[in-house]
Amino acid sequence: MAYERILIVDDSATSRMIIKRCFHIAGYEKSEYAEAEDGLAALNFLKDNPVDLIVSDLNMPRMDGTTFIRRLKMKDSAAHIPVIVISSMGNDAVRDELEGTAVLSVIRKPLSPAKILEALGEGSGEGEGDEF
Amino acid sequence: MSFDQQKIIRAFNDAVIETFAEMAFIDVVPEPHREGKISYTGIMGLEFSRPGRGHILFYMTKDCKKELVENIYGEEWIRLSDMEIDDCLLEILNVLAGDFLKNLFGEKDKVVMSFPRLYFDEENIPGNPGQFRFVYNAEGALFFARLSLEN
Repeated sequence: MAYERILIVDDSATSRMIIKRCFHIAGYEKSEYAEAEDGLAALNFLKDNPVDLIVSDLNMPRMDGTTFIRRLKMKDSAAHIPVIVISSMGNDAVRDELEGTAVLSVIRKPLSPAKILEALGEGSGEGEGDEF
Repeated sequence: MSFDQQKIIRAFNDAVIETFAEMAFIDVVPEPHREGKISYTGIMGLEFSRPGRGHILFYMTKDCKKELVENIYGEEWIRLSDMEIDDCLLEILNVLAGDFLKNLFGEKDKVVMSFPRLYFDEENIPGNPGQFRFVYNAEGALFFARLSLEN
């Protein structure tokens, strides 16, 4: 599937850079990328800017990833947008917590292009993103 | 939940080795028997409260930080802002802490961690430095870490 506009939500500029780089290597170098430092900034951005995919961290100031995703899924205009969670805290407990929010996948950091492809269902089965 | 010391040490070493290799392509070797003073500039710290309670502190020389940051950014240290450098080092600690907790406690329990932060010296660190001390050799650059873990 083509994801032309991708929103990266992470409080770490380094992490946002790594995520973008991994997407480029995974074949998404032509996509347009937008960035937000936390869930609140992301919700504000989404008011006026449609995106095809959201990549979100969990542990962020002001509004964490779980709250952001729950709020996002309550909005008719954004509920359809697929979300990938990329976090150092990604585990079974997070997957349980996010069940029912239509999150595509939870990936544990450190990130790799293979994990992204796996999360998007385009991998060779070697990544570690766990689909719901 | 209580763990034997060897399991804690193995979980921490594995997290350090894996995180440095995957994020910065740097080979790290534990040097548990090294003694003596190891210099450092600034301390990086992070607290965690679930599944266990404790904190992780990292003490690194500028050379070690430089190698890490340049490898991750693919840029020369001199071309990066202080904010980019600090953010990069703290992100490494964040990933490393998550990996350590996964190694030690498994995948089932919810993880709660503070945001990583920088300390200028040990006087500003809350509580004791930690009962575990780890020394590492990162391709010639020595650094050390402390771990506090309440069982």
